[in-house]
Amino acid sequence: MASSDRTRELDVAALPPVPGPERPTGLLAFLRQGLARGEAPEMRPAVGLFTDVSLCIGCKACEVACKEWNLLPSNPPEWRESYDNTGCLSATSWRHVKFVEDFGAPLPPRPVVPGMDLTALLAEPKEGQWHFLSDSCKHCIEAPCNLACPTGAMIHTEFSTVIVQPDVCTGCGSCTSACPFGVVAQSSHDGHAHKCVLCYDRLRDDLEPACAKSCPTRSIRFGPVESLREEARARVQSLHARGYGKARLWGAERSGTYSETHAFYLLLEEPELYGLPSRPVNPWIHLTGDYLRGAVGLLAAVALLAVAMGRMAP
Amino acid sequence: MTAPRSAPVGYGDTVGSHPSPWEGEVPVLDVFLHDVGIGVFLVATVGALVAPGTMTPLLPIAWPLSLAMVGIDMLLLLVDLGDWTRFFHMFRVFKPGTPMSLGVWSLSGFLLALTGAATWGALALVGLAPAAPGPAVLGLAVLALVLAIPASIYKGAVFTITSQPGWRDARWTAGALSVSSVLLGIAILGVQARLLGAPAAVLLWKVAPALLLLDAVLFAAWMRGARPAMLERLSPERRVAEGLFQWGARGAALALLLLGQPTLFAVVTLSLLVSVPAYVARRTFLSLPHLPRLVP
Repeated sequence: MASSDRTRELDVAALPPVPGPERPTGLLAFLRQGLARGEAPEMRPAVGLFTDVSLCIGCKACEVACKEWNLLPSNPPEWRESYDNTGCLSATSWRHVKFVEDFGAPLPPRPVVPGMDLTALLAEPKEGQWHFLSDSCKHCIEAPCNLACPTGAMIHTEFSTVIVQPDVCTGCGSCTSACPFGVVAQSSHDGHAHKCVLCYDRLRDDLEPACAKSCPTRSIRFGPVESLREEARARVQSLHARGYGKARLWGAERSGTYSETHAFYLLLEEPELYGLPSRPVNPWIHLTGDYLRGAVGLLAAVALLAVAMGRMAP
Repeated sequence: MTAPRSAPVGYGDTVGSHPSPWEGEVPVLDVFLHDVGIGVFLVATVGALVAPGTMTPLLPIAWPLSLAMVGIDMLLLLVDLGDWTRFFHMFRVFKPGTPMSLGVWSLSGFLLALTGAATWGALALVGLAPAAPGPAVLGLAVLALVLAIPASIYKGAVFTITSQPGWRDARWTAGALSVSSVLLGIAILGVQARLLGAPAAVLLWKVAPALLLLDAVLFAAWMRGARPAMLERLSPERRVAEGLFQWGARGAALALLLLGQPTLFAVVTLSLLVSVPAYVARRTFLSLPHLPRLVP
């Protein structure tokens, strides 16, 4: 696949640019174009990412590829007593490799005896372990950011992924407040919301997202979401059989409070360790109740006011 | 031999949402003026419909006052946008299931209808229109009254339908803000009525205790929802001080209403006892996601 994919990428790059729509001239034409609705693209099979943390080596190739492909500016590194110097997902960092350091005090040095069998060193107890997680947008099926957006800037694409259309984003911040995973962020540069778009432009050219393409261990896998889920379940079983009893999938199944996500993870520890909530809640499950409670409060106050005024008025 | 393992340095304390960009004094003032403006309109209009003889004289000032406050609220909303020049995109879609969209549409409709009614009020003040509103003006006022319902309740839902600590669990926010809005309307109109020497001052004074009690119940329900975040983010001293202030002000307002008369001093004191705690409660609530967690 790698070879043909490389060829395909070069083919696409060599294609002549597709001419864009004609730019409107005059105020009326400009307004008409602003209000016009284009035709919805034909639906394509839902795609997603399966990130297997047991294969991640923390190389950050995905972070770099994401920045490179999406033309995101670099950030000054944050020194955090860790190899994680990105900190969190932001308007300019759509992918973030988390480094969890699970280390104790160093082991005492083992004395080297002349003539000893060095293969015994391989069986030594390990001093600790790194846990890595390459985090990005989860591309939720019922995405709180999409539900929160008052302008339709946040949409589900024909691939069932979630993207921001910056040209109609007002920067109101509703999506940032709604996302339970700290994915969507508002840019201090242009005031608009930004996040991973799963390389929508590449998907339209039948190419895989830059992060998956650059991953040297195939920890990040891209493909039709249903087959990815099957692959992920098989991988969990395989890890259980090899003694990784805590291995579990995160985001692959719908819970009572959250939908499945199109970018899901295989974790080796509790989700909180990686900064993921173990029981994410979609705030929209409270919408009807909150509207009702608001209406009940207001109508009770107005009714009380009307009755009291009607009775007490001279 | 294995070395003692310390707890892994993970991301447990970073689980959750980015802090909302709605931070600082502008959103607080925005919410407060929105509630005062709608409250003044609701009390004046409902009063004029059920007790026209007493409340109608307040309308020529009450409606323009309400318009000014909600208008400032809209301007503050624009100021608080990431890119205010793109506000018109809010009208591209109508999504009643999105509190911000419901709010923009209903508030805009409310403002349009209220502008008609307030224009009559301003003209009546300078003697260019009849002292009592005609059927057309009343029709606009009733339309504004209907639109005031979603315009009032959306604001609370904007905060609770998020993943922000403190906001996401405070299920009664919309209810409490709406009731508080009506109480604020009574307090502000009470001052206006007293200054005009209108009999409405006595009527508003009489109905205020019932609304004050309803406000206290909803306020308690609101704060109960926000309590986990308050315990996590407000120092014990601040919690005690704010609790004493909120409940002390409500107790003092009730005592004043039950024992006092609606003199100018009393109605001004009442408006302060209602509006200052209302502003402080909104300020504290809005600040919750932005406050750091206290170290246990």
